Formats: sequence, structure tokens, C-alpha cells
Amino acid sequence: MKVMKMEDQYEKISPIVQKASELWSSTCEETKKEKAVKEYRSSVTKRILFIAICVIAAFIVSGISLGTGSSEFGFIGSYEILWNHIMGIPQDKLVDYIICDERLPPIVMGLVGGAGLAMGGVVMQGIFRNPLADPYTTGISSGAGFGATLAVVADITIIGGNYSLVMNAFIFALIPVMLIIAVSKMKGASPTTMIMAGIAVMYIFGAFTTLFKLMAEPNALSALFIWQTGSLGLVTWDELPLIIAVTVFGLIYVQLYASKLNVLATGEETAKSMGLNVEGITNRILLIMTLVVATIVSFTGLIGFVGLVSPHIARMFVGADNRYLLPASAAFGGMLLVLSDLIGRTIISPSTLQVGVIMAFIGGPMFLYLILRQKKVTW
Amino acid sequence: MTNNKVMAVVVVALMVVVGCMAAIGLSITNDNSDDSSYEHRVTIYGNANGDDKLDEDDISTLNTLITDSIDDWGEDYPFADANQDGIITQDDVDVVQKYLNGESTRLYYQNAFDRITWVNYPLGLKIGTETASIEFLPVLGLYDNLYATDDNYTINLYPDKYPNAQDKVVIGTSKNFTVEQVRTSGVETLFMYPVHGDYFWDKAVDSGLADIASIILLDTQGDRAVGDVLMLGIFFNVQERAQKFADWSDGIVSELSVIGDVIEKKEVDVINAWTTGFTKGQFSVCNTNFNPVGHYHHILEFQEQYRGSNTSTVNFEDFVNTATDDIIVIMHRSNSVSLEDFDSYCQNLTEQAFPNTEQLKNGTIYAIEWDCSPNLGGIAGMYLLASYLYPDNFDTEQGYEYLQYFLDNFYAQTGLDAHTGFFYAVTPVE
Repeated sequence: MKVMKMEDQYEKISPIVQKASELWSSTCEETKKEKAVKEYRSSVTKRILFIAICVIAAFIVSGISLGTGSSEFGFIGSYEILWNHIMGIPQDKLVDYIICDERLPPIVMGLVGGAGLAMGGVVMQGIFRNPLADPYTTGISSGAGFGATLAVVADITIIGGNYSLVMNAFIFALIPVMLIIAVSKMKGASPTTMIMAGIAVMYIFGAFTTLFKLMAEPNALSALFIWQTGSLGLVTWDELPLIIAVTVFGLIYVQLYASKLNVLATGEETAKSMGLNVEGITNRILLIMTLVVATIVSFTGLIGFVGLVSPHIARMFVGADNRYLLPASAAFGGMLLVLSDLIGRTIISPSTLQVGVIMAFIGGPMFLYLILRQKKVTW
Repeated sequence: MTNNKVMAVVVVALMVVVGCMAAIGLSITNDNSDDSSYEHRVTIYGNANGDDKLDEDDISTLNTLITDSIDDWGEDYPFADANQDGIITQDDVDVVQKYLNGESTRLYYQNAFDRITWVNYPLGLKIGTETASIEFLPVLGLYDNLYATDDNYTINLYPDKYPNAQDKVVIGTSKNFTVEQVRTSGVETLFMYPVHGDYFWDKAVDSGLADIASIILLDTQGDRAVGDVLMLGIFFNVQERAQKFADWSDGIVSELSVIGDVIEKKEVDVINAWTTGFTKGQFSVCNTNFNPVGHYHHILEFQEQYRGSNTSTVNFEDFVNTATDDIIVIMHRSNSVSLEDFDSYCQNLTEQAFPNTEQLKNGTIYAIEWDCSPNLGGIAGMYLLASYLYPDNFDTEQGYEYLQYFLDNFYAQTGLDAHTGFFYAVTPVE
């Protein structure tokens, strides 16, 4: 029997393990330790830099979006109008309305909605250990959409009051979550099975929505059509505080669990062996994410690909560490959605293309590229 | 099965049950088909006597209300409060008087959603429209004032029907106008279409746009359109022309009123032919709440299963098994089909759609073009259809005369013959 030489075995070990063994071996030199620490710090800096770039890009894109339209106010001009509005400095009522009530709410919605959906993608890809998981492919968006449709078209709500729309969306979004959790517990269920279950749910909800289309009155049908294609223009200032509050709460909550999500990503058994209450944490995070996604979807309609593409792109720059991946994806998602909305508003101006359409045009090819390029197996 | 499998099945079953219940609930709540009449046609505040005009008689009525101190005027004179302050005073008289003098004033009215909105009199003549509302302009003799449109494809698709409309300013996407788009378009008066919802008025008020431009929500389809024509006649001071249209429409409605009173109303199915499934065995059957059939209650009843919401998609077999003896098909003549080819176009389509049916054999399928079905010329189309459904009571040639009158007086395209390209009774096929 041929025995593999020590050197050959050593070569087969991955560079990371090599580095770790060198670092911690008693023979490791002090300079190597310092180098490794330096490299780590450098990678952290790069990650923070990427997040900062995304935030700055989001600010710039928002400024361009705010200043662009059939009335040209310019980048600085539009921020000036906004500043005057905040400071209560009198200005033309119509101009004030166009910037502050017509252009700004979709931008804020884009930033918040993009961040929330991207974060949903990170969480779902991590928890289900599936690169295809996001609020759309898991059927959560469709469930939320159906709940919102019930409220808007048929006036059927589970609870009354101001938050009936969101609660409808939330409760119906829980259905696919429950289904996916149930499927994931089945013996032999693969990540693909979970996504297939999500897609099945999406089709079922799609069928009901079609049923509604056939029976809806023309006005409701028109509203339903716009909602289904996904639009940032449906939201008003009255609704934004709720959306911002829920999304920010979700972002903070999930960020606090980022380290635990890292452990979860290594697999259920490993996580349990490390003393993690896997089911408890998974359920809590999924519940929070479902609430965030349902809240966003009930006001924007169905917007695909943000939750899928943003985490993948962010992962290329910051890696799989959720402590950085979550804020990076959120910042990138927000920027991407605002950019898509800007393209939709300007590409065939004065006609507008819904942001959902633009997102699909951008997201589809981008995602195909990522699939073909990506070789990693860690999500 | 494991517990998890059971749970998954239960979840899916739950979805199906909830969805079905919701759908049933929707179909019940949507049925408001019986609301087809309204008491006042001209819903402008200041029209105190509730007739079709805003004139000296309204001032007299208002003065009577003031001098007699009638407090409970709301029920008998619902449109008396011209300035919408909740009381009847000299100020209300002043509003009407300013209108009659041609002075600037705000005229309140109830729009197609029964909301109280306003126009700024005198109205600007740079008129913008959402596509369907464009129909009002030739009726009022204001087609030359068409200044801007939406980006709806029909304007470009039918250049003959909407002369020069393709060259106008494009405001934006229909159903989705923004204050910014309307403002930058330069439109002074905007006609909007209720099927798209009353999505714009609140924005116009909040932004101040409603103070400088007049935003008018109008119903182009069904009986209410006549009231809207009369209101526009008042707003634009073209009452005589508006009244001419109303008289034409009222005359036909009056003749048709024997259906249901003297003659028993027939049950007849009405189908959309502009859906892709029409010649492939998937029919989109119109229901009573479907806006484009707003005129049809004058001449027919819808079958029980087609009362209520929007449209029903029915396959060939199910449709044929329950279809009425007569079938009306609303056609959207493609622009590639000339007016002269309309008859053969309809014959071919209906032969493809209704092969081997009794209705095709009997020649009881009637194709009617969109323009004389739902829109402002629709009541003439109803007369034409009535002449086939009730041949003993109505004369087809009279129907063509009514349609010709509409085309000659209230239509943008000129030189048309009512006999060519608007109505076709299918030739029986053995």
C-alpha cells in the first residue's frame, strides 16, 4: 500500500487551513502572525469600504433621482428644495409638492424596500442554505401579495383598522413560511425541494390572483395590475413611517443575530453541537423577516430579484460573514431599487416603466451571470 | 405520512379553502349591477333646480330658498350649494351669476365617482385627455383644442379615427399621471377616465395644481356620459351643442324604452372579441358591471350567471351549452382592416369562433364595433341591435340613420358611412 508523503498531504489542505495551522502551530513565527492579523484587518477594511461605497452610491443615486424628471431641478437644486421644505422656508407650492410628495416617497420606499428585501434574501439564503432562496422564490412575496389583494380588491381583512392591509399580507406570507419549514423538516428534503415548494406556493397564490382578476371590477383590476408589476409610486408619506419602522427594526434585529446566522450557515447539526437553539432562532428570524417583507410587499407590489441578486453581489465583495453581508446587501439593495426606479421613470419618458419590470430586466441577466460564474458552495 | 407531510398538506389545503372563500366573497360583494340610473344628470353645484342647465332659473330658485329661509334644502335641492359652504346665501347666487357673466369663479361638481370636485371657470382650452375621454371633444366641437394625450396605444393605432392626435404632447402613462407630468405638459384642462380610478384628484388638490388647472373625471361609457356631455357643455359654454347630443341620445333612449315596458326583454349574451382566446374556444363573456356594456340594459337582460362583476372566461363547450339564441359580439376593428372589409372580417372571425353552432346556422350573431357599442355613439348601436333582436318593433334603417347622425355631428373622423364598418349581422352558415 502506497503511503502518501507528508508533503503531498499538506498540499491538499486548503490554504486557509494551512494558514490557520501555521498561525497556531507552536513553530509559527511572530511575523506570520502579524501578517495574518494585518490581512484580516485589511479584509475588514475592504468590507466596511464596500458598505460605505454602497451607502454613498445610494445617496448619489437618490439625489440624481430626486433631480430628474420632466421638470429639471438638478442634483443640488432638488436637495435645496428639500432643505427648504424641512426648514419651512417658503417656496413654490407645486415645486415643493413635486419634489417632496411625488419624487421623494418612491425614493425613500426604494431605499427602505430594497434594503428590506435584500436582507430577506441574505437571511433566507443563510437559513435554508440555498443560493436561490429569497422572498420571491420562497413564495413569501406572493403570499403577502395575495393577502394585500384580498384587502384591496375584495375588502376582506383578518383584522380591521389602519393596519389591516399589512396584517393581511403578514398572515398570508406566513403560509409559505410554514410550508417551507414543514418541507425542510421532511426526511431527505434538499434545498431544491424547499425552493420547489416555494415556487409551488407562488403558483397557487398566482392562480387565486388570476381568479380575482377575472372577477374584479375595472377599477380594482387596474389597481391590481399596477400592484402586480411592482411599483414604488404607490406609497405615500402616511404609510412610510410604518414601513421604515418595521424595516429598521428588522434590520437591527437580524444584525444582532448575524453571528448566530454564521453558525447556522455551517449546518443544523454543527450549530446544535455548538449549543445553538436552532429552531428557536430560525423561527424568530423568519417571523421577523416575514413581517418586514410582508410590510414592504403590501405597499410596493411584487418586486423580484432584489432579494436574490443583492446578497450575491454583496457576497462577492464582503464574503459570507453575515455581520458584514447583511448591511452590505441592504445598502446595495436600496441603491439598486432606487436606480431601477430612476431608469423606469426616464428610459421612455414621459411614459413610465414599473420598477418591477426594470428589476427583472436588470436582475435576470445579472443573476444568470452570477450563477454561471459562482463556484462557491457557502451561502 | 409523517407529521410534517400532514402539516404541508394542511397548509396547502388551508390556502385553497381561504382563497375559494375569498373568491366567493368577492363575487358576492362585487354585484352592484342594478345601479344604472341617477336622478340628476348635471351635477354641478349651483344647478339649484336640477335641470340640465346652469342659468337664470337657478338664480331664481336660489333667491327663493334665501328669501323663504328654507333650511332643509338639502333633500329637494341637493345641488343648490354653489360654493360648498353648507348654507344657501347670496354667495351662492354670486357664483352662478359670475358664471353667467363669464367671470372667474370656481364651479363645484360631482365627478364620476360622486366626489365633490371643482373646475376653474372659465376653463383653459389647452385640453389634455386620457385616451377614452378624447371622445368628448368632437361631441362638444372642441377636437381642435386637443393639446395633449396619454401614451395609450390606441391613438397611434387608429390614426384615421383620431386625426392629428399622434402629434400632440404626451403627458405620461395612462392610469399613472403625476402632478409633475401634467404641470410640465402645459395642459390647462384635463379629462380623466374613471375606469382608471380617481387616483389624481387628491394629488392635484394637495399640490395646488387643481387651483390652476381643471381636472375633470368623466364617464365615456353608458348613460352617465350624457350628463357628462351636458356638464362639459356648461363648463365650456357650448351648451347648445351639448344639448343637441343629449336630445339625440334621449330620443333613442325614449324609443328603446318600450323594451321591457311593452315588449319582453330578451336574455342575450354579449362577448368581447378582442381577447386572444376568441377564435380559440375561450370566450370573454361580458357581465353587467363591465363598463363597456353600460348601454346594454336598454335592450337586453344578461343571463343570471353573467350578472355582477367584470367578465367571465368560458370555454366553447360550456358557452354553447348555455348560450342564448342571439349572441352579440363587440368587435375592435383592427387598424389593418379597412372599414369596407369590416363585414368579411366579422364573418370570418365568427365562423372561426362559433363553428357548427345553432346561432351561426340561424344567423343570430351580431357584430358591433366598439365605437357604436360602449362609447358615446353607443346608444345608436343599441338601436341597431334592437332592430335585429326585436325586428317587429324597430327598423334597421332607422338605426343606421341615428348612427349616421352621430358620425356626421359628433365624431372626429369625417366622411364616414354608417353602413360601412360599424355593424354586421352574420350571414347564416350551414
